[in-house]
Formats: sequence, structure tokens, C-alpha cells
Amino acid sequence: MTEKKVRITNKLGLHARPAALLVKTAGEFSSDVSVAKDDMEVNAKSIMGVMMLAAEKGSTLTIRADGKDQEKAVRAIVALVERKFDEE
Amino acid sequence: MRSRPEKIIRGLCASPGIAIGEVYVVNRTDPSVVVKTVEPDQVENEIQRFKKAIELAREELLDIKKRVSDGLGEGHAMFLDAQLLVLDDVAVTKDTEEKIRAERKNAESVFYETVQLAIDRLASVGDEYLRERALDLKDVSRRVLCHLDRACVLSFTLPEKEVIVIADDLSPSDTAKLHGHSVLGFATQHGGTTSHAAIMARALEIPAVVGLRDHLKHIKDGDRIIVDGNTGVVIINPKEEVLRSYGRGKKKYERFREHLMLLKDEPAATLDGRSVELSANIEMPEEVSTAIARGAKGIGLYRTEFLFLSSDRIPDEEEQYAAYATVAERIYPESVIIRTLDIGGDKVVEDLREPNPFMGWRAIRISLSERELFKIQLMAILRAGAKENVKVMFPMISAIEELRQAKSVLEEAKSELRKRGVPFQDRIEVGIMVETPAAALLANHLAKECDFLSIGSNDLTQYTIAVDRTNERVAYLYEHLHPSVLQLVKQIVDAGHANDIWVGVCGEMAGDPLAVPVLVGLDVDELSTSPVVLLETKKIIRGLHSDEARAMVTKVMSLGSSVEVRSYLRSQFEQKFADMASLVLPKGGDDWSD
Repeated sequence: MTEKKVRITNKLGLHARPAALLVKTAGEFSSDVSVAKDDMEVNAKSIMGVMMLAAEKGSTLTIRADGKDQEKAVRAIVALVERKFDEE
Repeated sequence: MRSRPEKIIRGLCASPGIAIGEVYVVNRTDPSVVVKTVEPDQVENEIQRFKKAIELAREELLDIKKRVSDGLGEGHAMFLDAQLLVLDDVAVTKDTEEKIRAERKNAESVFYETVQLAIDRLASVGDEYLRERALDLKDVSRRVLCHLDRACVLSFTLPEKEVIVIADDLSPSDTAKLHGHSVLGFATQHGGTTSHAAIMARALEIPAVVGLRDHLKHIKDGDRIIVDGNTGVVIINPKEEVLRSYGRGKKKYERFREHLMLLKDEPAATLDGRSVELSANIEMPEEVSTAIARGAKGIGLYRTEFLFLSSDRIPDEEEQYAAYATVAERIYPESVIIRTLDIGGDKVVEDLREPNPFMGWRAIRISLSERELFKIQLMAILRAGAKENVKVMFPMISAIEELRQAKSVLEEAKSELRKRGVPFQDRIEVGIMVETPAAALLANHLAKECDFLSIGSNDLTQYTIAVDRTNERVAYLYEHLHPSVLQLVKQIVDAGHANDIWVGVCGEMAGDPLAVPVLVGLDVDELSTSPVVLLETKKIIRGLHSDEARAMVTKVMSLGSSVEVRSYLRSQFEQKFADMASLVLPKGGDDWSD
């Protein structure tokens, strides 16, 4: 399993579009991918799950992946969050 | 005859008009969710049953979506996309299936568990956008669960006869259902004037009162009810005499509305032929058709905030362009004045809580410090004006430098568009909202550097009297007929005219029957009102003579008290417009107009 922490820096946090992008990115990998905030962990391939995190700007996410392409998956999602979801 | 006691309750005006009729209570029992164990050989059947429920829900949503978007326009149907997305979510589809298999539990209990967790979580966060998603989720999950529970009655089936719908709350898809049925009006316990139900009621032009709290509890099917969307009053089991008098009032009101509709294509001109440009304030592209139906000469104020607030993120240039261009196209050959973002800082950046937001980082102040954002909006506006029927207006100007800076960003936007080779409106009229006392007093200078002034009477009143009208303790002080406000208005109009530019009013004052004669007497060139009061404003203008209006101005300007101003204008109005005084005074029910 691969795991990495990343901080949300885009203005609106994990709202619908960023959440959808994250889900789309996670969906490109065969590994099981999850996102956790505080003590809540959700399936990164579910928009409903990701939105439930209600992760705002400044909060820290833990991205975990387990499977063949786990490292690539974590790297791709961390990069997306760091790029502020190409929002700004 | 009727033994049930009459009950009068008060809520919020969501949509104007009076409805009298029989109650139909929307009684939705929540679908029952019982946890059952599924026999191993039934697991695949259970999964098929679940897939079928999802499919049926999808078909229904697509059908509702089509009906709403055919009848009211795509914008009103967008919320259904959010619900459709849920049906495709892996947490809903794949995870539910796997869980049915692994835990051998029935579909509804597994599905309910997943969705309820998300609903509870979303409903508890302090973010309005996410809380709304919880409503969508609840709406769609009820639909799916109902397809899994044979005893469940999904939503409700409206009777054939005309009824007044009573509900705790109307979900977005419920409201969509009202379209095309004989619903005379509705009243709900919950919801505000900007809720989806309220917006829909106004689009459908059916009277509605919302926010009645638990006063609707004991109401039954078949009870008689009066829903007065003009005053926010609901009367349950009215006494015969009340019913008769409301019946008369309703007839009178409807005759009056019909009579007003006759004025739709008549000019908005005084008896002696001075014409006033009469246009409408809108928030969404969908409202253009209502404005046109009421004979608006253009859109005098297109508020762009809704576009920003209804989306979870800042809409990009293309999205903004699509909305602005729709309005420009629908109103063509008349024109639209697009106001750049007029929003409080707390709405753009979530971690900003200002101690004094009305005096804080808002409107043009945000635009000028977030220049890139501002430029994108201006580019979208300029492109929407490719047919030369767009004007741009900057809100909350308090210093001439702000106007100059805004104009320079506008030039940057133009040169960027030029570089990109995109068609846009090069010669665009630039105006400002005059809504701070500072701008009012400096109007003479500001008028030299712009093409028009539009008086935002709501904020001008608030800033002049130093009263926050959303604060119940001081709201009574809020009065746009306050002599100090009227003097500023006069000063602004005179300054504009001295510099040969036109001056309009786009706040609630423009649609206040008592204020209209004063504004006409002050020679205001344009009035922009909410579409609902546009025709009555036209009727007032058409019943005035300029000299008479000027005489009223002279009198009003000599008074030092707003109580005196109001009572003088009221007595004048009652004399001049005896037939409509009781119908339009005192005004109620325009909570949403700014």
C-alpha cells in the first residue's frame, strides 16, 4: 500500500468540480484508492464519498492506494490537489 | 356549515398573487427500510431488483428533466443532473451490489445505510452548497427506495381537480411536478424566498407562501384555504365573510393584472408625453421571458451573483459567456445592463468572516483586488455584446480611482480579446451603480468619466441612514423615502444631466408606487424594477403629468421627515390613483427583489 498526505490549497476546497476531478483521476487506476480526512476515510472513486469529506481549504488529506498501480495513483491524485485542481 | 375554526398564519411571500381553494396535503410516508437476510440463491435476484430500481429512478428523473427544461428552460432543470450523477456513483452502484453479496442483506437496507451516512454528514457541515447536495441526495434516495418498497407511494400524485398544495417542504423534483398541473398555489412549512420551490413558483406564476413553520400541522385534505402571496398570509378554514372578501379581492386583483397586461405594449410615458425607459431586474437568464412578457424595455440590471453562488466554484469565461450571451440574445434588439460581481467577501473566500461585511471587502473592491477574476468576467461580458446590445455597470463605487481602475481592466480585457481574435463589443457603454453616499456626493465628477449612472436605492438607503435592514431591531429605520436619500437622488440625477448622461434607478425604490411620481418628477431617465411590479409602475407613469410630478418633488424636498414624506405621497397617490391604491399600497412581498 502507498500512502501520502497532501494539503488542500485551492479556494473552494473539495467542492463538486474538484471532487469530480479527483474521482475521475482515481478511476483511471485499477488499485483501490481512498481519501481520508481526520478520522474519515472514503472511496476515492465515489463522488458522494469524496464530497462527504467536506474538505475545505487548509485541510490535510491522506491518499491511500492498494493494488498494481498504487504508486502512480497516489502520485496522480497528490499532483492534482497540489495543482489546485487546475482551478486558478 | 364549517365547524373548524378559522386560523390566520403568516409566512414569507415566495410568489405573488392570491389563491383560494381546497387543500391537498402532500403526505409522504418515508419508504420503509427493513433489514432482511437474503438466501444465498436469491442474492443475484436481489442485485437485479436493485439495478431495476436504479434504472426506474433514472428514467423518471430524465423524464422530469425533459419536462422542466421544455417548459421552463434548461437552467431550471440543472439540479436534476446532480441527482442523476448519484445514480452512477460507485458507492451507490458497485458498493451496494458487493455488500448485498457479501453481507447477504436486502438491497434497501444496504443502499439506505450508504446514502443515509452521506446525507447526515453533508447536512451537518456548515457549508450551504454541501447542505443543498444533501437535499438532492435525500430526494434521489427516496426515489430509489420507493422502487424497492412496493407499499411506498413515491412523492405524490396530484388530483385532477384544482388544489392548493400543502407540504412540509417541496423537494426540487416535487416542485418540477407542479408544472403542467392545476395547482392554484402552495404553502410550505420550510423553505425561504430563494429556495428552489420559490423560484419555481415565480417562474410558473402561481401564488406561494413559504416558511410557515409548524402552523400547517393540523391541516387536512379538503380544508378550505387562502394563500395570499402578496402579503404572506395564509388563512385556513376562513369564515364565510373572509372568504367572500378575499374572493372579491382576488377578482379585483386578477382584473387589475389583466388590465395591466393591456399596457404591455403601450409606451411608458407621462400624460404630456415624457417617456421613461422601463426595464426589468433579473438574476437568471430564464427570467428574460417573464420580463419580456411584461413588456420590459430591456434588462436594466442583470445581477451576476446567482451564477457565481449557484455554482460550487468560480464559473469560467465560457460558462459566464454562455449565461450573458443567452440574456443578450433573448432581449435583442433591446439591451441588457450587466452588473459585475456584487458580492460580499465572505461568499468568495470561505475563511473570511468580516466584522462589518457591508463596509468590507465586497463588490468592486473584490473585483479590483482579484483582477484576473474581474478581467475574465469582463471578457465574458464583452463577448456577449457582439451584437452591440450590452452595457456594463460597476457596483459600489466610492471613489473615482475605482472607476478608472475598473475601466483600465476593461481595456485590458478588450485588448486580450482582440489578440485572441474573438468578436466582442468594442464600443460598450460603461456605467456605475451609485449606492454609496460618497459616490452620490461626487456624482458630478464620476459622471464625467462614465456613460450612465444607475442609482442602487437599497444600498444607498442603507449607507445613508446607517441601517442594516436585515437587523430586526433597526429595520424600522430603513426608508428609501427618507428626505436625505431623496436629496441624494436629486443630486445624482442633476449631476448626470449636467454632464449629458442618462440616470436610472434600479433598486426597490423604482418599483415603489409612492416613489415613482417623485422619480418621474426628478426627471429620472430609466426605471428598472422586478418584473412583478413592472406593469403597475408603467400604469403610474402613464397617469402622471410631468408638471404635477415636479410639483410633488418640490413639496417633498421641503419636508424634513420621512413620515411626512410618506404620508404626503400616500395621500397624493390615493387621490390620483384611487382605483389602484388599495391594490398596490402598502406594498408587500418583494423580499426577493434585491
